[in-house]
Amino acid sequence: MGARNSPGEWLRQSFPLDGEALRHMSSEPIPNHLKRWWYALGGTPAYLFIVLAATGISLTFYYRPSPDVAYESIGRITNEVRFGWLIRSVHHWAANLMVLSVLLHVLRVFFTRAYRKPRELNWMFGVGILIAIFTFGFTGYSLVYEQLSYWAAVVGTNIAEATPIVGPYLANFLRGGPDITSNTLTRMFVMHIGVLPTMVVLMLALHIIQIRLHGVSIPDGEDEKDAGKTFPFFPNHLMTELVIGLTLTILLVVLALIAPAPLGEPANPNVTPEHIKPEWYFFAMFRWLKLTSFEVGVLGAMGFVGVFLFWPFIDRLLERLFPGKGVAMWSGVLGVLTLIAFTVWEAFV
Amino acid sequence: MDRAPSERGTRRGFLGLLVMLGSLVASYGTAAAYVIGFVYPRRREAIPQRVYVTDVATLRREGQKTFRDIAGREAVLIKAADGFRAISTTCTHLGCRALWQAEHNRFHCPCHDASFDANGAVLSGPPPRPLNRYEVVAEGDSIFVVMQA
Repeated sequence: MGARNSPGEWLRQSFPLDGEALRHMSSEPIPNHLKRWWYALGGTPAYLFIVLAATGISLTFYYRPSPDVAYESIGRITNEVRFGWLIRSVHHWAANLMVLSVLLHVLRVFFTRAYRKPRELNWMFGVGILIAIFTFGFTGYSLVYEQLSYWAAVVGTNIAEATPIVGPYLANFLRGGPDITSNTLTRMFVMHIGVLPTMVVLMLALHIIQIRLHGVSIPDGEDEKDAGKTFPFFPNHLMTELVIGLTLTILLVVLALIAPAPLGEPANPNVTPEHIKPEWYFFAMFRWLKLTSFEVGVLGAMGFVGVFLFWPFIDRLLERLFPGKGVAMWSGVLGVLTLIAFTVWEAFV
Repeated sequence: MDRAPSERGTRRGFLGLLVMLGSLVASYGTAAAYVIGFVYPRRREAIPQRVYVTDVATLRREGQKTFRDIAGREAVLIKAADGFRAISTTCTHLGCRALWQAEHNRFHCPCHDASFDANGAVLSGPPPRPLNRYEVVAEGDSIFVVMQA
């Protein structure tokens, strides 16, 4: 019989992690400009993702993904289950803040041109995550099975149907048949709690691995100010992220208290409400579809996503064609102003 | 898996690798095809069916009759000057429900502000084509609509 080991020794033997390697990994030097909070906007969605996973798993204990009982189960979570209203409202607000923070992160990366060579692929992973976040939002509010949920699912799957070549197959797959039925709700549920989280975790891992491999990009202006100064990731930058996390937690609870997640009229497949609007992050798309013909509306939106995905290469092309003119930057400003204008227009009309 | 050094770069080694990769592609490909077949819904062949909706006297009296097709989608049967018309209220833009507005004599889709006339033709907005129409059959006093089951 061998000598008895202490629990600590047992754990070290069972999980032979190299302490020196861990110290090396966690104390990566971070450029000084990351002390400014807007450079920590990538950590904000990562923190919100954890909040969404925790509250989402909690909601799954009571939610029932069937058209007959889905709305009723949400009502039960909101009105009967202990702290159900809080968990649901925190999930609702975390989802909204997630979209907002990812958009702000994208804007920061865009306007500091952090996507330039050799980080083009990481920008594309980021756009993939952004699309997944929007799909999360879409599938999430479809699950409530209120009027907005039902009609958003109708419009969303019909937009998918208009995709050239694969559209009809894609829509048939998403709906689980030619119409919105109980199959659709099950599929939205599976995507929301299984497929999308797996995809986001994988893409997030690739996104972070790429950041570690390339190092953090140094924006042009910041380089001159800080001239190569760095600070360690652990504990300094982690503390910044924790302070942001704590602030977000307080903000989420306050928002849940003053504006709990709403619950509209139950879904009615026979009546589209007179004043129907999607969630705020789809306002620009919704307004665009009102302004254009069917083909221009759907294909234009897909074209926009394509340009966005391949922006690092388009930027390089524009820089080559119009050197020093800042065409790429002004295109971005124009694009952002258009999206804001469409969003505000839809919000107030 | 390490291969014996004598097999590396030989024809035998290459063929072995080819057979192994081929088997992997064939087995996982079959599994993937089964999974896709499982999650992709089966398409059913549409079979036209005649369904009784109302009688002529009631339609003359009420002017219109709302009904649902076999898939549960709402449609409306209208008494027009030149006969009967059965029009689907599913907007041809993105599938929302167009509402009949008798005071304006039009269908209006609230999703993207589209409007259609009483025959289903596009009046304004983004829809690419008129509202779908069903074949109407009047036999004696009864009115039937032909639907796809």
